[in-house]
Parts: sequence; C-alpha cells; structure tokens
Amino acid sequence: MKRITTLFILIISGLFFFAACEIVDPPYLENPGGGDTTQYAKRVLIEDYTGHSCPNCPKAAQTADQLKNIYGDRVVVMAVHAGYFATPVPSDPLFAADFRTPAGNTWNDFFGIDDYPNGMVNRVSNSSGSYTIPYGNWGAVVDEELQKPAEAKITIHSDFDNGQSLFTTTVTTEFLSEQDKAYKLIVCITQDSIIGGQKFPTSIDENYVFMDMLRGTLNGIWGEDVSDGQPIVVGEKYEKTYSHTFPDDWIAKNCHVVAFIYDLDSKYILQVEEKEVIE
Amino acid sequence: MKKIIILSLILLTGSWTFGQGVTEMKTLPSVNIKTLDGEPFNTSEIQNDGKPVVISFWALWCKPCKKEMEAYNENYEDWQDETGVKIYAVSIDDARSTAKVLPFVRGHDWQMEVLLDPNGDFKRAMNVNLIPHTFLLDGTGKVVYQHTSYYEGLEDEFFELIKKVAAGEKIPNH
Amino acid sequence: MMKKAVIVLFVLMLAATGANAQFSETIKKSEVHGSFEFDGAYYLTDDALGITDSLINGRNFRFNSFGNIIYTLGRFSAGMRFEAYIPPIAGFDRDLEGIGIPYLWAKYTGEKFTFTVGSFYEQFGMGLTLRSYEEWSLGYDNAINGAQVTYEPVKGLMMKAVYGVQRYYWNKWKPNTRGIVKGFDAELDFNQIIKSMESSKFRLSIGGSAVSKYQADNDPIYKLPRNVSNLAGRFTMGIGNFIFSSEYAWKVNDPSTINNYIYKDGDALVFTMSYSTKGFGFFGMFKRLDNMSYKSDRTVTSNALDINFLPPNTEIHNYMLTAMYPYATQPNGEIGFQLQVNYKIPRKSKLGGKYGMGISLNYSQVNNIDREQVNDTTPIGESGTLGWNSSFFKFGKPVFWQDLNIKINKKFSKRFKSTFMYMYQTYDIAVLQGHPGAKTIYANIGVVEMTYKFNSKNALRWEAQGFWSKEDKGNWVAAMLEYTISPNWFFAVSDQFNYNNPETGEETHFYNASFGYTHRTTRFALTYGRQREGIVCIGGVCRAVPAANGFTVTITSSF
Repeated sequence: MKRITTLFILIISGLFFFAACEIVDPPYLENPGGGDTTQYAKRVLIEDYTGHSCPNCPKAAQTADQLKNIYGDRVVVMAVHAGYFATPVPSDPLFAADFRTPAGNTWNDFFGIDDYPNGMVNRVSNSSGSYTIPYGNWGAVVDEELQKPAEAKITIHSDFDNGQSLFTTTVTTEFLSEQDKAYKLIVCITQDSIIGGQKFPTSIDENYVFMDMLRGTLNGIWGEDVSDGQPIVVGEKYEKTYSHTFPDDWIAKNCHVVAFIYDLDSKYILQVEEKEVIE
Repeated sequence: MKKIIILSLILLTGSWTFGQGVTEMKTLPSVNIKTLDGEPFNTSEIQNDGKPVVISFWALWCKPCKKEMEAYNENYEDWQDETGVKIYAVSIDDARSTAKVLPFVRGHDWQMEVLLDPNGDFKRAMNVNLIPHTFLLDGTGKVVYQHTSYYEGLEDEFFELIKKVAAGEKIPNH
Repeated sequence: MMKKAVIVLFVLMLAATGANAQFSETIKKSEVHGSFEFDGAYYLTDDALGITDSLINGRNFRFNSFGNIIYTLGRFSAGMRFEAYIPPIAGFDRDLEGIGIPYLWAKYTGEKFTFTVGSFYEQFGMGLTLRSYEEWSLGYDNAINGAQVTYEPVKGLMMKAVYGVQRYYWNKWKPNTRGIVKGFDAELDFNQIIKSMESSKFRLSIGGSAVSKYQADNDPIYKLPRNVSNLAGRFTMGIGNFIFSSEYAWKVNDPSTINNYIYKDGDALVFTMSYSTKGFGFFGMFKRLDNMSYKSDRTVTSNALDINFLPPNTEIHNYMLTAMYPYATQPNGEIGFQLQVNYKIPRKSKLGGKYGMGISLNYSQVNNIDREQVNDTTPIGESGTLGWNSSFFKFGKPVFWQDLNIKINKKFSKRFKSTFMYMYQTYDIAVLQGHPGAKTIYANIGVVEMTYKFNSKNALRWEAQGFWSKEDKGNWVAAMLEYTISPNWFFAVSDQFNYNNPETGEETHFYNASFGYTHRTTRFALTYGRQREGIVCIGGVCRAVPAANGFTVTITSSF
C-alpha cells in the first residue's frame, strides 16, 4: 500500500512538474509603444515575399502593417511579388497581372525563399546561413534590430516631372560610425493601392488592395557601390543621383522611393529610408 | 565540419570492419512495444523454446508486406508441424491505424503472433529501412538470416532456410 | 557542440573496446549493426511538364542519403545517423540541404530504468500530446535532443519523462529561438499489475500525459504565453472480442502562425472500437480536433517542429490512382469518423470457392468543425481574439473528405489470384491542398489487379485502373505490368494517362520503367520516367511533390 502511495505521489508530481502553463488574459495585443523620434534612429526593412495566388499571404501583409502601426516610419515594408504564387494566370483575368520584377525574382532565388508567405528583416541571416524569417517572427526580429544604434543616415530628395513622367532622385548616405566593409546602395520604387485578385484560405478577394508593392529598382538588382572596403570615417557622405521615366502603370502619387545600403558580404541591411515620389 | 566528416568516416569504416565479423545479431534489442490487444511487451521476450523464430516487419499500408504475411499464414500450420517455427508479425502502423490492425488480422484469420510498434522503436533498433523486412532467428535467439522485399514464391525458398535452421544447420553467408 | 559529442562517443567506443583489459572478451560481447540508404535522382527537361533548363538550374543531380550505426555492449548501447542531402531531391524541404550527424545517442537499459541522452524518439499514447519520429521518405524528423528516462517499478506500470529541444533541419538550437519541450507520461496495465486479472477476459489499461513547451516572448504585437501545456488521458479496454480505446487531449492558449494567433484552448478526441472474430473484423473510429497544432516554434508553418501527432481518420490507399488525392490533417479543426468491415467468406462455400474470398468495406468522412463567432463584432478566427466557439459533436461545413470503397480479394487457383476495388471519393482540394476557388473533386475510381504465378519463382502482376472526375485534372486511366523472379529481380512498366482535362484540355502520359535487384537486405532499384505532381502523405504529414522527369536510383542495405 505504501508503495502504491509513493508511486501515486510520483505520478502526480510528475504531471505537475511537466504541466507548466500560462493563461493570457485579454486584451491579447501589446500596447503600441511608438518609436523614439527625438533623434535620427535606425530603420528596418521588412521584405514580404508574396503572391496573388498565395492564400496565407494577406496574413503576412497584415502583420507587416501591424508592425508599421507600432513603430511608425522606423519600419519600411516592401512587398516583393515573386515565385510560384506570383506567376500570372493568363486564362483568369483576376490573376492575369504580372507583378513580378527582375530584382524580386533574382532575390527570391538567391535568398532561397520557397515557402510562401515568407520574408526577410534587414536581410539578417542565422547561423546556418538562412535569411528567411516566418512572418510570425518578424516582430521579434524588428524589435531586436531597432534596439541597435543607427550607423548610417540616408536622405532622399526627389523631383517628379509630371509632363514627361520623369523622376529624378538624389540619395545621400552619411555614415554615423566607422566602417571598413564594402557597402552597396539599392534604390527601389514601391507602389500602394494597386487593385487586383488575391486568394485567401477559403475565398478570393476580387478587389484586394496591394500596398508597398515593389515595382523595380533604379540602379540594378544588386545596386551600386557606396564604398569599396576602404576605411570610412564618421560623417563621410556619398551622394548618388538617378533618373527614371515611369511607365504608365506606375502611378506616381502612390509611389515611394525605398533606398537601402547593405554589406556586400553578409547582405545585411545597415540602413533604409523611405520617401514619397511626389514630395 | 571537416573534422566531423573525417571522424564519422572513421567510425563508419570502423563499424564496417566490425560488421563484417558480426553480421549475425546475437541478442535482440530490448524495446518496449505492444501486443495486438495493447498490452506492454518487451522484445527481449521473443523466444520459442529452442526452435526457430521469424520476425517480420509489415504494415497495413504496405501491399507486398501483406502478401508476404498472407503467404506465411497460408503455410503456417504446415511449417509449424514440420519445424516448430514461431512467426512474429510486427506491424509498424502508426496511431492512425494501430487500432485497425487487430480487426484486420482476425478478419484475415492470421494465426501468427502479431505485435504493434507504432512509433517504429523496434524497427529502428533492428535497422530496418524498408518493409517488408524479415529476420530468421535460430534456437539460441541469434539472427542468422534476413531479407527485405517480397516477391511471389519467396516463401518456398524461405521455408527451406527455416528447415535448415530447425535442423541446426548453418546458413551459408552468400 | 556536435564535434565534441562525436569525439566523446568515439572515445567511449574506444574505451569500451580498445582500452579494456579483456579486449577480446569485450569484442565478443559487443555488436555493431547499421544500415544505409542512398536515393539519387537525375532530372531531365520536359516541355510537356513545363520543366525547363532554368527551372532545373544546373542542379540535375540530387540525392538524399543516410548511414545509421548502432553499437551495443551488454546494457549499454549508442548510435548515430549520418545524413547528406546535397542537394535534396525535388519536393523535399530546401532547408534539408546539408551534411552532418543530426542524430547521436547513448542509452543504458537497466532492470527498471532506462536512460537515454542525445537524440531520441518517443510517443505518448496515440501521440496527441507528444510524438517524435522520423519518416525518411518524407524528409521528416522531429527527434528530441536532450534526455529521456523510463521507469518501470513493477510490471504493468510504465513512467516516462523527456526533456529537450527538437531537431529543426540543420539549425542549431540557441536561446530565444525554438522552444524547449518537456513531457511526462504514465501508463498502467491492470491485467499485468493485478494478479487476479491476469487471465481475465476483461482487459484494461489507462494512461495520462503532460507535456509543456517553453518559448520566449519577444513579439511586439501580441502578449504571448511562454509556457504552453498539453494534457491528455487515455484508456484501452477489451471485453471479449470488443476493444475500445480512446484518448482526449486538452491544450491551453497557444497562439501561433498556424492558428492565426488566436487564444482559444485546443482539444482533441480520438475514439476507436473494434470487434473481431475468426474471419470477421469490424473497426469504427471517431475523431475531433479543434485548434490542436502544437509546435515548439509558434512561428513555423512548415512540416517541422511538431510536438504532437494528429492521426488522420481516413484509409491509406496504395494504388496509383486511388492515392492521387490523399487526406491531409487540418490541425485547426476537423471532425470525422471511419467504419470498416473485413470479412473472409470461408473456403469451400458457394461464394468463397476453394480458397475463400476476402471482402473489405470502408467508409470515412471528415468535415470542418462547427464555428460560431465569439461575439457579434469579432469575425471568426480573427487574430488576437478567442477565435471561435464550437459545439462539440456538430459536423460543420464543408465536407473536406469522403471515401467509400470496397475491396474484394479472390484466389481462383494456386497460380491465379486477383483484387477488385471500387472507390467513390469527395475531396475538397481548395482546403486540403490550399487552392482557394478550386472545385471540390468528386471521383469514381476502379481497380483490377491480377497476379499469375508461373512457378514457384516467376510471377506476373498486372493492374488496370480508372479515375473519372469532372474536376481538377479530369480523367485518368493507368496500367502497370510487373514481372518478378524470386528472390532477386523485378521489372516493371507503367503508364498513367490523363485525358479530358477540364482546365487545359491537354492529354499527358506519365510513363515509368523500373527494375530492381535484391540480395538479402541489399536492394538496388532504378527507375526512369515521369512523375506527376501531387501530394505524398504518410501518417499526418504530407509533402508536395513537383512534376519531374528523369532517373531515380535507390540503394539500401543493412547489416
């Protein structure tokens, strides 16, 4: 009898020891804290790899949006339509549009994005060399990245000539810390409020509004050299100017310039800035 | 990384050379699995009073396995009369169909001992990659022969081996 | 970490063999066994399947391979598995690409205790709270790395405790990444523990398990529970020819990407019963899942890091066309049942003939669970809410799956036997394969299989199959011819022909030719042909397989 009691106690204590749990009480959402806006701060780029035929992708877009609400302009979002789920379906007018870009396709292959939705945050890579971060984890990585000090400052000055659809922009990079790595600059155009078909898990939205969609880059897929690995001192500035004639379907008033500099070796994005095309 | 590979290569070759000498498994691993009606069973209890034992891994989803089991079952009475062999049919069906094994086995009127290995623990301990995979044990519980795959007619040849083992003869290595 | 572990194991092996004074004695007692497998593929371009050079991208040759070693010395055993995917075969997760030893363990088996350190596999009950396992053909492995203890104080009572982190492809575990898993399980078998029940016709065993996971909360959007537990109770009861078995699991709030960050509790019930006598077997199963995905990383959506296992309640099919649309468990909610009857018409009866005749009838159905809004203003499944309310036994809409099939096995003579099968299937491809808007498939499927034995070594097997449906890819017919020479050789050719495709109107052949050679435990097989795109499921896990054309080779052996 005594042995049975001992065993019983053992089992019960085993159950208790292993059954730790936390019940979270509502409200389940954290209070948005808002970013520190008093001084120039680090910004972070979320690249949301998505496609109109990907049923779970709107959830990732929603997550990116929530993070924008929390951190304000310290979070820059770029929706990259690429891969299998972004392939146009010519037979179906809802999904016939091709939102893919040469840069998006190349990055998709290079960073090994297979499962959709998926994304990158500042192109941070983990120990096993993987860049992809599931959208449920974007928030945590964004938060971690935003704790870091700003090491560079990017300023954008643009001009848009309505008559010729000619867009001219000057991007200035100022380093706020000493560097000895090679950095490159990529300047992209994103566009909001594009209407089209989007698949959802059990339905299709015929008038889905796509935001922050990558339309193209102004200086190639991998950008242009800012520095070549020579030591950079604090305050050093680099200035680049680009012009581009917008095609008809790039609606200038809905477009943004997204400029970022990245480490050539690790692909890590050191700083990013976003500004409207029509200031 | 390179060191790991080199070390593992050493281990692999080392074990290959070991393996050459001791391909016959002397004792069955001790693994806790279940009997057909869900009772605990330790595989070290598999034995047959000095007569040969056959252990065959199968599953409901594996057609050739079921054919092999059917073929053994059809001959089981004759085989037992002649050699006293005992056959353990180990099902590796997982939780999706473990409860279906018993009605299937009774429904097909199998006479063999059936065991359930729902998480493949015994299967892994016996180094089974593919099923069907069948082991033949001599009276001392030593694995003296094993084969994988089943083709029509395999049972006839297999029975010749069982007879040899029952008579205490050695099975040639090749 | 890994390196050190390998060295330790190596030293242990040396110590156990070389450094021992009774060297030869130890050698005699120790045993080494192992197995290996090599699955290689060489891909070719194929215009009809849309496989272009740029899709293959220079990676024509791919392979998956493993080598497994188990060393035993009396009560001590240790082992490891070497794996290489360079790069993995098409359809396997890209994250598998790599070489290494993901599985390394040492175990001591005592009279009452066993201790395992390193990687291990374990299942509690039916697995609703915890199951770690490995399925090579899917590239699935959620082994736990840590420690495991089992304790059997008396025969009939088994206790188990596990603690560790799960394998996630080649990603090393670091703090604040994927979660830590701990679990406890106890099972009591009354017929073994109580002397007077030993030979009783009434059999009873009960069990319970408690599992919890810890994962840090660094998320700025949601307040996330760091510890999430999953508790279950179960029993198996036998009365004469009846066996009843059931497991119920309950999980506390576990917001994750899979459930869209809802805070609802989850639960699962599986109930099975069977009745069997000589020549007759009946099986029934009821299952309901509600919000039961349980992963050690809440952000992961791929087939990885599952702590529990949710068994599907549908039949597994093996023929080329009956297996075309397999079921995939819906962890966020499904309710279903299955009924099966096996009957063997006795020998020498009118229908049974000389050899008897086997009949098997199976029906299974899975529906969505019923879902109601938690309040008037919150849409169903909205993240950051309680998600939905559901009444337990109500079958919701739509029907995900329906399968009615009958199989007849008939042996005409010693040489000639055959199988006939008919199946009716309903398959909600929109939900089960994630193609929103796609029409639910209704299909009629027929199979005839014949085997003719020329003599005790040579046999010919022939299959003819048809699949008729107006949806998805339309109609299919298939034929297969296989010649075997026991115990070494097989040769097979097959073709699956797709016609009346409602979408493209195209007609496509998926032809295959293969042969293989088996010697004891060593098997070599070579296949050339086309593979149709589809889903391969084993247990509750599925893998999408892309269309392919090329050669595949499999070499497997164990010693």
